[in-house]
Amino acid sequence: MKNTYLILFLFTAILIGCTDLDEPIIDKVPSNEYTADPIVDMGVIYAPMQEFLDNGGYWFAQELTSDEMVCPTRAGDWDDGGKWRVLHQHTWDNKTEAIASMWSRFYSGVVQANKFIETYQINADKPVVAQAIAKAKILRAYYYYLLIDNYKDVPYVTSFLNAEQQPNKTPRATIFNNIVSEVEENYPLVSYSTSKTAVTKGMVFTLLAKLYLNAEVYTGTPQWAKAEQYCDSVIALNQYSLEGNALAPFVTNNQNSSENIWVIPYDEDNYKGFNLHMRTLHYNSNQTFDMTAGPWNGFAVTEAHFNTFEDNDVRKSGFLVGQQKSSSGADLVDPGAEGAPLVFNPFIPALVMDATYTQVQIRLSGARVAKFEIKLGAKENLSNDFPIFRYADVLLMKAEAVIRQGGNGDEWVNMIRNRAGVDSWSGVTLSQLLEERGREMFWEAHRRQDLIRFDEFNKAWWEKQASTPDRKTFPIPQWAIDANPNLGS
Amino acid sequence: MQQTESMKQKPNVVKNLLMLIMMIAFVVNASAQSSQPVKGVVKDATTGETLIGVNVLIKGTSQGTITDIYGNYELAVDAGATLVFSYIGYVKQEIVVTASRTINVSLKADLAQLEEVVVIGYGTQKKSDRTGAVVSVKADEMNKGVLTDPIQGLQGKAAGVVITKKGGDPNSGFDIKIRGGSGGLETRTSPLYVIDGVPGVDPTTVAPEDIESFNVLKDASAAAIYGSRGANGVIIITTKRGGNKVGNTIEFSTYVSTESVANRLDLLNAEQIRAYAAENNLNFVDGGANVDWQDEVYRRGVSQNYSLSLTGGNESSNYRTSVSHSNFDGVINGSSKERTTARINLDQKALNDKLTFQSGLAGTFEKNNYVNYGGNGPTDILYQTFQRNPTDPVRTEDGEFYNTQRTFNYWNPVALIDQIQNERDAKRFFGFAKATLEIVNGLTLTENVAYTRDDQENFYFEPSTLNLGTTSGLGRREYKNFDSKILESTLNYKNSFGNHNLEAIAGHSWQHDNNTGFSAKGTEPFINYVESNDLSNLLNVQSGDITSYNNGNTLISFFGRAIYNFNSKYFVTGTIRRDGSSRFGANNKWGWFPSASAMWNITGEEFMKNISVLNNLRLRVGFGITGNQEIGNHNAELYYNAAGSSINFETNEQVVKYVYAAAANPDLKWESNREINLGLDFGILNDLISGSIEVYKKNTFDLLGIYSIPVPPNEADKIWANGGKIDVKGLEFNIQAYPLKSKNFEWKTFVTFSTYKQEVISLSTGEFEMGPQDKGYVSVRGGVGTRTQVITPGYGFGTWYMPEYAGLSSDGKFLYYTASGGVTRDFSKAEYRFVGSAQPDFEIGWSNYFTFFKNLDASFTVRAIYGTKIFNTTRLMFGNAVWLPDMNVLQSALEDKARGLNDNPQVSSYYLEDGSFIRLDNLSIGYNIKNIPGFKNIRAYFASNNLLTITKYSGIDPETGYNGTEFGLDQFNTYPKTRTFTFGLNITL
Repeated sequence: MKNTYLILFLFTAILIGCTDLDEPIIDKVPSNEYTADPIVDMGVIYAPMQEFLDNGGYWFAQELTSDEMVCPTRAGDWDDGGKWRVLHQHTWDNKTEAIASMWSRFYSGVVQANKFIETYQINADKPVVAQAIAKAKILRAYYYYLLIDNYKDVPYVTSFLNAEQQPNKTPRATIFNNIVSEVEENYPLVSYSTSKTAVTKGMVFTLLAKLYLNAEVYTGTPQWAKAEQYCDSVIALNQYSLEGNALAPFVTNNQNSSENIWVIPYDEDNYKGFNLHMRTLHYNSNQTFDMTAGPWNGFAVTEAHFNTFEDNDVRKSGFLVGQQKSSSGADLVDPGAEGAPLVFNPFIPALVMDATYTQVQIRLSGARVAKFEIKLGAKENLSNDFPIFRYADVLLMKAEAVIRQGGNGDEWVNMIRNRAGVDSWSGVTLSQLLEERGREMFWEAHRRQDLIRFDEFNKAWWEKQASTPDRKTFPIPQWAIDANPNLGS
Repeated sequence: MQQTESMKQKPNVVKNLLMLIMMIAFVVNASAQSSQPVKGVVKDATTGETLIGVNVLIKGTSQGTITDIYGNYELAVDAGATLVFSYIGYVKQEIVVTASRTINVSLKADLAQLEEVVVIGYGTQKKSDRTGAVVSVKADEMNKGVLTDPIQGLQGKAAGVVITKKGGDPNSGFDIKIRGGSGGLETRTSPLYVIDGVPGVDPTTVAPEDIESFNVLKDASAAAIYGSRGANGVIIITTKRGGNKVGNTIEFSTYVSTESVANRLDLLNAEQIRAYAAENNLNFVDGGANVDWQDEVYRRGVSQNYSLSLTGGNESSNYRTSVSHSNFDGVINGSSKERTTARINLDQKALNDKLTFQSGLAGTFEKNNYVNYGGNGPTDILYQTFQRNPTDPVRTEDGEFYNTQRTFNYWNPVALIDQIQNERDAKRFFGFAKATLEIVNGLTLTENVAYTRDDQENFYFEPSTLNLGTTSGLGRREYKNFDSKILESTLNYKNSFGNHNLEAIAGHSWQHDNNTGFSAKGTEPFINYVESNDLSNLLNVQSGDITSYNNGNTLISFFGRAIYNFNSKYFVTGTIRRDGSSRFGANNKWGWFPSASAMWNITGEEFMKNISVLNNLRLRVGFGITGNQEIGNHNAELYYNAAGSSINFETNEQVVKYVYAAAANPDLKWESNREINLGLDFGILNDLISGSIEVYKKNTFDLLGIYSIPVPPNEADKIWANGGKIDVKGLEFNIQAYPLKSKNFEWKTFVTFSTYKQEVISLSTGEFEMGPQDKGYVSVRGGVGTRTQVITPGYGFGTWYMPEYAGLSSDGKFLYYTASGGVTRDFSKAEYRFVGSAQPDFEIGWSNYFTFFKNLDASFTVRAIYGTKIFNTTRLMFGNAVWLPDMNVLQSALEDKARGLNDNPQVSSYYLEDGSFIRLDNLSIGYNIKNIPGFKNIRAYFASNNLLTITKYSGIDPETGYNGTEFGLDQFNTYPKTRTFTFGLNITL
């Protein structure tokens, strides 16, 4: 009987002993361990920009909705449930992929900035921290600039700890006023730097110039003089200058280009995300560039936009048209288009090329884009840095602001035209300026905003019918409304 | 009658022949005996028939003999010794030898042993006493022939247990869904496996030859004893042990089988392509060859199996040890599987039989060769094979692989198979030790310790020269390890008080699982010869190319069960389990899982005594709550994980990017499944016809899901939370009957039927809302990102949601219905409609077992799945002449073109097909030769798997898996089903 009790005692002891459910995380970082110094921590605020040209949807939403770029349906290829087509025809809804993706990238930047600012506020008396907080506020303003530009009225949240669970929308103009004054308040804290990736004075002035240039769109009240003032501020820094060659800012090793102000520092291995060449090059173009990846034969420039380039325009060499050659100079053929020569034709017969079109039409229509150098041996991602703000853009903005105030913008427009090898203009008009912007800023994700500012966005072109003014902004994604019904109305 | 007469005749010849062999054997045997033998005849106590092959042993020695075909034995033995007579299915008898030299024995049938037993988790029960929905399938009822996975043996044998497999890849497993599964938005829907009492063990640690029985706990009242892991049902596998037999048995079995492609796609040949190009005035690059690419990629496979087992022991200790080796060739070149399983089971009694020690140790060693398929990527074999132009040669005149870029991702599949290394080396270990001590009469304590470990290593390599060098090459090695430690204690009490019978159990279980892994990869191999065998051959290794993980979870449980019956008429079972899991939020780590069930033995009542036709009628009712915790670890917490290298914009330096997955939810808790089950068991004419009918209703609530939350204020835009409800209602029955049962001929037939209906009731937690979930994205060129299914309240999983095809326009364009009821040719204006479901209406299994003259046996199994719809993406992709003449297409593309179709394919109900099928899964014929001297039994058999499939489906095969949240999509990822012919031999010594 003694043994019985002993056994029962042991049994009970085991029962009581084994109730510990603690299972620490050891292969990931729990939130309380996730801290570093402020400079490293700032990284997450910039992080959403990495996806701007691809899954983030930003580039697609700025370029494919405009009159310069198109992703035609090539028989069974590239229809993808219509997600490209609806962008071009302005028939998107709030589930369209690019529109649903952009939102989360922008707000991810906002929330990380909010968190950073509150986390480091306690050490704000240290100059390094004070500058970092100022930069975080400017970056937050940059994301809000993108939000009001793309989605109009959005929730304006500037706190991480005290934020409402389901915030309401704030009018676009209110957000505009807030972010402009926040940037103006904080830029004195940003010290001089030659960085092209960090927040610098050049980046801040260009951002303010952009905000004021579009102030009429955002608030109803134009602020051309302010826009001009900040363009002048950029010029006065004497830090930036035009490159001699119009395509020099876009070469593979463009990290030190004197023309680029603020870039996304893409790298084929360490900072992937720039794969637009894969989308535009033909399946067999890999032989032209000795690529280690097979491209996808999709995006092309619209014929009308292609035709705005004069033949002697240096920038026109940024297109691939006509007979394509292998890296060793042999003429390429397209085995999938009945063995026809691989010749890109700028003419695109239709937005949707179905089975009734020939394989040559389906596969070879449209000039392709190589504005950003595609180096021999290019991989699926490019190493070229992508400029968000560029000095040539500042000069054109300066010209626009002057013209809009009744002045003459020839000086700055001709700097751009002459570099491209085309004739000077005199008495440049606004519509000429828009055309020149189209040529110079092509493929750099500015076109949608420019067309809206010049009130050309809703007009009809090619296979796009005139759209209603509400198409100047995108609807708030359905998934975001599901998560916060206050965004619905 | 005449027929029976003539049938009796034939075997007599065989019988006489056998007798002759036996007599010779007997004479040889007898001559070896010494003087003064004891002789006698052993008979069945009831029928008086002589018994052949009865073990006769002198107690305490290993000396003995067996009875011959007349039931005679003869053994030299001294007076005073004890003879032990043992025979399977009979009660052992011991007789002390006196002066008499003749001892005739009558053995009584062992009723306790004949009465079927079901395993119910932490115990067994007489089948007739069960109160829950439990089914048992014994080894001899399992499917025969080539079993690539032990679970295949159960296919079609248990009502409500749907076991399916998409395609015939020997390296891919089966989908098992019991009663439509439970929940499964994020949790898995496959059942819990319990092997030899140890939960969570992979069934592939068991060789099919080692399986004694499958027991399936289908309803929540039965599965609740496994609490938080019982929601999808429980499959208990019991392996063969030494048993109580005295003496040794050696079993050797082997088979060899051939496998061929059961069905292939009907693609155009080279001549048809040329003719098409000529007719339509299309110039195309004629590769000059005539190649059937399916022929180049498919092959006839040969599979082999060898297994050897030794069973033996004496009264206090027994063992069974076995080793089994199989080799399966896939019908796609380059795919194969090799598996060796070894197992030792030991049983030892001590302390006057009061202490029982049991242990098992098993190891599985598996080597796999894979081929890539399943998508439309540059290395996907099936896609590349189907699209490949038959005029393109396999090799150039120089003998090199021929490649040309006719289109995007267009590569030579034979070259891919030859050049890509894709292998796995897996090792699984499973061991347990269990001690059971009888403390006082009726009270026993069991301590069970178990350990399992699954290790796998993967090798992958693509040379830099692959696909004309459009890749930078890739080398990768991966280790994935899983281990699980279990410690269980149970106290069992069993007693009877008059007509009151009670059995109670109380227990505690602690389990810790750990996952570790390591992966390294890189590109730009310097010398391709090395493959992935030495990764230092790779020139380009980036940060993030080397990864590893190490995480675990703990599950702790307290449980109890009481089974009571009054006079074997009224049965009640109550179960309670309290489970704690480290996976859930701080506020909700523990959950309760109760169940209760009852059974009324109606035939035990007085008023039934006159209804003699019904020998058994039992009514069962059960209710229970089970749980599901099969989500990843640490989902209740906010954490950051490394996601490759990045650049810090401030410093322009390389950093490691950290991302967060989901917001913290301290309230995250168990997904629960509430189920009520009603069952009726019956037996007619002394069980000539018997069976069970079950109806059930399940309600899964607190569904684990990932919900969107607003950013801001939250940092992560997702959170794991409990919400949503899913209902399943179902009916299933099985009937077992003996259409013929005579002395020399027996036909046993067994039918299972199951049907269920699943409906999502809600996708809301109250706090968070989830919109309709798009599922079933098709991956074809131009169709990327097109969903075909939706999960939304009012419908079950697998519901097709797409534009509905409304015929062709006069100029050959697809027409679709619009919301206003009209038709449109503009795909973007088509209305999305609910156009059917991939879930089947019902499944039927029909198994038949025949025995002729106790020597010849045959069996076949037919399985049917009815009412499922399959989206044939393969036809969407290859069923349109638009791709001609460069890419190959199906014959149906020409037929469609002849009908006037002249449009690009789009995802619509045009490609939705009836996936119902009837399949002759299994056929076997075997012959047993008993009592050859030195042999206990020799069995030779012939078997065939997948001999015949009847279906309207136009693709490779209509069978698909039903697990997870999306299924029924056939997009060039159906590895061809195989038809196998097997010849096998089992020898028992």
